[in-house]
Amino acid sequence: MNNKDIDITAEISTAGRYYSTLPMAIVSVANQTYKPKEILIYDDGEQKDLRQEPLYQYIFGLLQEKGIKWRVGFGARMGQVLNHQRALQEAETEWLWRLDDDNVAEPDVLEKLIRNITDKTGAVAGLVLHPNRPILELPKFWSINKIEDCQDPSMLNIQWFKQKGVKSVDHLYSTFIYRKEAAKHGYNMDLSPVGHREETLLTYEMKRNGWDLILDPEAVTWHFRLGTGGIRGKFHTKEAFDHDEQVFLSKLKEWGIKLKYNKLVVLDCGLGDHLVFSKIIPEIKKKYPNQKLIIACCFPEVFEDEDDNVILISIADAISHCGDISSFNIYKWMWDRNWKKSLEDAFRGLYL
Amino acid sequence: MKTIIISPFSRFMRNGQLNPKNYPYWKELVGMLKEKGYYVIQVGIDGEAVIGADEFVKNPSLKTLKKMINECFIWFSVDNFFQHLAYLLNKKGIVIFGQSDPIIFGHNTNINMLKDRRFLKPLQFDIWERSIFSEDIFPKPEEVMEYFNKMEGEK
Repeated sequence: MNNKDIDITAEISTAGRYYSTLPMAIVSVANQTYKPKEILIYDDGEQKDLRQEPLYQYIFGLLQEKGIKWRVGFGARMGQVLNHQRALQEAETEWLWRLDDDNVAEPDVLEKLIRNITDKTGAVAGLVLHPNRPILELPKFWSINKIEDCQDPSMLNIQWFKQKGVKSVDHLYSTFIYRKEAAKHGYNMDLSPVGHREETLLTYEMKRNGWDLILDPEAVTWHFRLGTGGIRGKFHTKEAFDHDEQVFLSKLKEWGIKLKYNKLVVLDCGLGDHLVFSKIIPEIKKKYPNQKLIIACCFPEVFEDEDDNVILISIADAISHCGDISSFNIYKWMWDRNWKKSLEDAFRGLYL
Repeated sequence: MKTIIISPFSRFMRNGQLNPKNYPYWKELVGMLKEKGYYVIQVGIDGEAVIGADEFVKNPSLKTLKKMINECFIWFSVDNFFQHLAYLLNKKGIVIFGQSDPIIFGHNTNINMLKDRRFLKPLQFDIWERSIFSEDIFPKPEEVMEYFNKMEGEK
């Protein structure tokens, strides 16, 4: 296959971001070194005639100048899953490039993604990085987006980390190119309008059907995760996410996936506390025999004699990966419980 | 000659004040131990006060400390990391408490000396910078020696 002949349709589902991130997303498509044939924009927001908006007159003119056809469709205002499914049906090319309306692709993203395509390739993604916070290197022990690790809070999506080397993965997230034939099973229509887990469900089903899923970390898309607007907008409720999580878990069960979890420990405390904690490691290993123990700590020398099932990371890593680590604070844990027993028992309470 | 290790201080405080966990009578206690013929080794870090021991091992690694603990006759400390390290090594010693509660922060394998529970700080999990150092709350060296003599006899 000559990858230079691959026709691609870019598609963006959007709401409420006419004058924030959507223009950046579209312009990043226009500026690709490898041009898509067309861009489809599905509008679940105000549904203005953007041709009358001066900013969009520039943007559409730019697309035209670059030889990229464009279409804007009004969505049913029922969320992104419907729009992405509609793109799958309306795209005239064999390959689609899905983007969120707050993605800003580097100009060489498509060029780098298509170089990975073979006859067996179902989808190819790059990194999706958040430039408002430090971008970390992928730790060596990290799960390479294995489906059995997808519920483990200590194993975040690898598309969020800087790394080297093309990887074969089980599922992809956010923005990627994919083959229409590989996605013929379609998006999961049982999901709520927030479409939580929709990319994982779509791409893992490709994998199950024998297609390769590839991550090329040299292709970088910036994610301007904005608090306002967005396709999830009014649907963004806990109930909707809980519903989708249940749909997702049912699907994993149906597929016979045995979920794996690692045990995360955060010791943002003194040397003595580390030593006391180390006393209960054998008990943790006994209780969770199939899990790796990931310890974020300040005094790694305390654990230097532990085996390969104990992985040490920094407190900075823990904060970057988990956000708030206060639930791991043993002193807060004891304070909240008016604790009267030993520190060692408190660690047991927190981690066993 | 039998060796006694002393880890006399808890960490420096961020407000520059004396750590309320620090025992104020180390010099007197060390003098009594030396009188009995023991070789006393202070372990600690740069900047800590000297307590009159025969030797001061500064900034030892955990590996070095473990070896020293295993080889010593007995050890003393305040409520700092040292008592926990010795606990992991099953080596009994004497811990002198002041305002922290030995039921929470001590190990019942050690001799945990506490003058009186009424001196315990009311919020055991609060930061130490909010507590004030007081030498009155600690047992006198003679009282500590009583416990030591008992342990010495048992050994």
